[in-house]
Amino acid sequence: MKNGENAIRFENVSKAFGKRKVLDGITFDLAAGGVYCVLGRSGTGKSVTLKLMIGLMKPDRGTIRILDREITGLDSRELAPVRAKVGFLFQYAALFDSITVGENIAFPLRRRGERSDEEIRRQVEEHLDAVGLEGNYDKMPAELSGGMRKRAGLARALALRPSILLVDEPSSGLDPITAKEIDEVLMGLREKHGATLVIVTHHITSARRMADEMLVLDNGRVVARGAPAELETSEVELVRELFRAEDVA
Amino acid sequence: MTNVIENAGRSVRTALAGAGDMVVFGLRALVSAVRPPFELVETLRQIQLLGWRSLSLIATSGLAVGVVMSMHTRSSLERFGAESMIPTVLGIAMIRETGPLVTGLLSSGRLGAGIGAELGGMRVTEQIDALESLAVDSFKYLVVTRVVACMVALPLLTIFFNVSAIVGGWAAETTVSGMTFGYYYRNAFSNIGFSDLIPSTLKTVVFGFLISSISGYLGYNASGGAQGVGQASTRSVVLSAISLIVANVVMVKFILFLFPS
Ligand SMILES: Nc1ncnc2c1ncn2[C@@H]1O[C@H](COP(=O)(O)OP(=O)(O)O)[C@@H](O)[C@H]1O
Ligand SMILES: [Mg+2]
Repeated sequence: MKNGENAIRFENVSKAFGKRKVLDGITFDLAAGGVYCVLGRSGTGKSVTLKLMIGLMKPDRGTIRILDREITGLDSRELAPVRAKVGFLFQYAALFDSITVGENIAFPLRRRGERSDEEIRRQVEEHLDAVGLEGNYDKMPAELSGGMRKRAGLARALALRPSILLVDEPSSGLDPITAKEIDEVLMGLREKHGATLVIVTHHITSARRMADEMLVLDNGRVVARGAPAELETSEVELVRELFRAEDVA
Repeated sequence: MTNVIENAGRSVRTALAGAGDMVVFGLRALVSAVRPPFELVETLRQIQLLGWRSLSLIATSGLAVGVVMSMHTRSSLERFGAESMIPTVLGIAMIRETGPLVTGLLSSGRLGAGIGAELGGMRVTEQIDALESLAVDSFKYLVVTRVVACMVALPLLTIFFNVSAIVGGWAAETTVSGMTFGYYYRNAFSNIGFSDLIPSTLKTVVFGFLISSISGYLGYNASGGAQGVGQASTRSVVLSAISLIVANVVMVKFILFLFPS
């Protein structure tokens, strides 16, 4: 896919849980190769939006296109080829806790059909290196610190060299220094892979550092969108609050 | 008053809807089990894992049940001077009913709780979502493999339980009468025919299905953090034990109808 084409497109997407409307006819598109930060209060549906992008949840209404493929009506098996091109870093990393860190990263490689143990080992070591986790192949996930888990989750999400990477709150639960390191790893990726990045965060400083564009969600809609410098002068109250929050922090 | 009735009605409806979902879930697992792609490696791993997990429990329980049953049988048969029948009676009782039922109930506890907690934990920590995000069909990979594994493991565990019980029964008997193991063993199994073996083995396959699909359903659909996981695990044990007892009654009726002796 060339830069400039749409990697992700939401059209009129609505999602409710019982009576609670989370997304209310949301429409946006994200160009391939861009870095997008999604901001908003907690509970506004940022994680839901990410999960919709790989079909972990289904919208009640509307259509979602990923890499030019409509995914709304697909089941788990039909989604597989799309999912293979999309990496997901979960908020708490979601490492498989019954296998080692190295095996977590080897898992998608084996599933793809890679047979040779040596080749798998080599690729896993490479991915561990890339996120600064060299030498942790044989550790169990429970032995890692929060920041290391995120890195391992990132390495696993990148194992299949996805063209889209979805990241849910990379800095949540981390100290500011570790959070900054994770941001740096993410930015390094962007330079190396040229993947489309969608990062959910409520940390405006890191959003500013990384984003080509920021999308602000509120009440089930995108209430503001633009480059960080543009949004700084936004009239939207929530956006102003977000930027003010930074000055305090 | 109307409120009470309304509330009761609502709980009954919810319970029935839950039961319906569970049945659909189980049937879906069966259908999916015979459709490619087969998760053969993972299924074998689960059989081994589930088997190992229960082996020591099944062995010790089998021995203990064998000892106790043997003592009861002896005190009953002694009155008629029919001590030589002890192994035969014990063998039939074990293979027809006690073996399958006790193995099933023990497995509801051991395997049901394990599956409920394991899948529940994976659900609430987003590991199931992570599997899906890696293009894996999580239902097939986690649920179907466990259902098949339980359906294979339960008959094997039952055989193991029965053999342990015979050993236990002999141990109890030989301290009283000095009966040899060879004699005991031959007589325990001498009167066992296909009409005893086949139905009771099939029964344990059904038990395996009930335990794994119920606990699989509760774990796979768990929500609400650590508390939700605990709930999934305990409910797995309770529901699979109850359903197993009910299913047993129905199946025994059916078996006696098909194989009148
Ligand atoms: N699986 C679910 N079932 C019911 N409600 C959910 C589910 N997932 C999310 N929600 C609700 O949707 C809303 C948005 O959630 P989420 O996207 O996680 O918020 P955030 O923007 O903090 O990531 C919340 O009110 C949450 O309670
Ligand atoms: Mg969230």
